[in-house]
Amino acid sequence: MSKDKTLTFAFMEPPFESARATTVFRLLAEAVGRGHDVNVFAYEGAVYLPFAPQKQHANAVHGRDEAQENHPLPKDWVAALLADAGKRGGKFDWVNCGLCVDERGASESIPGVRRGSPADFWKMASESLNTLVIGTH
Amino acid sequence: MTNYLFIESQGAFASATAAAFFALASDLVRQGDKVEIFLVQNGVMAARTGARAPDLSNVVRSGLPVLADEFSLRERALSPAQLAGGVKPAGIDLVIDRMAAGWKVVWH
Repeated sequence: MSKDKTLTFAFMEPPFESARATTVFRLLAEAVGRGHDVNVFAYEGAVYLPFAPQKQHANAVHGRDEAQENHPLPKDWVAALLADAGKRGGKFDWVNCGLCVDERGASESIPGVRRGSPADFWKMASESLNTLVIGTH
Repeated sequence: MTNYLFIESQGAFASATAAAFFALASDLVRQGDKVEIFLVQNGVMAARTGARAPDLSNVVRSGLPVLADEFSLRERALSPAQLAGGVKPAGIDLVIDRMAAGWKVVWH
C-alpha cells in the first residue's frame, strides 16, 4: 500500500444496532470509490460485521418472505467493498481484533477478512496518510 | 495552524457532551487553528431552523463552517431549506476529502 493514498478506519460498532455502522460503510465505499487503499481495524462488536453465518430472514409482521424482505447483511457489504477495491486495483485490508473475536466466538468471517491485534492497527495508522477512529457509543 | 474536521453524530438532544465538543472546536479556532463541523446521523436534527440548540447556534454565529450530511437529512425527511442559516448541506465525500488533505478528523 502506498502511504500517500492509504486511509485507515477503526471502529467498534456491531451490526444491526445503530446508524453508525451505516455511516462507516458509506465512508469506506467513498474512500474505495475514490481510489484510496483502505485499512479497516474492527474491534469490539464490529468484528461481527463480516460474520459469515449472517442470514436473511422473512418478516411475518409485514407478510414478506425472505426474498421479498431482502434484509441487508453487513457481511455482503464487506464482501462488496473487497470486490470493488480489487476491481479498481486497490487494496482493502479488513482486520478483526482477535481478542474481540475470541470473546464473542465470532471467528467465522467471510473470505478476505483477517485476524489481527491492536498492533496491526498501530502499523496501519503508521503507514497511512490519515486515520479516523470512530470509537464512541 | 492545524486543520480539523469535527464530526458530530449525536447532537445536543442526545448527548450531554456535544456541547463540550463544540466548545473544543471554538477553542481551537481561538488559538489559531481551522475547524469545520460536519453533522451526521441525528447530529443534523439540531441544525433545523427553530431548533433549540444553543451550543450549535453559537458556533454557527461565530462563523465556523457547519455542514450537514445530505443523506442524514434525507433519512429524516429534512430538506436543505429547513436548515438554520449558516448551515449548508454537504456529501459525506467531504470527510474523505479532508482526510486525504491531511486534516485531523475527530468523531463524536
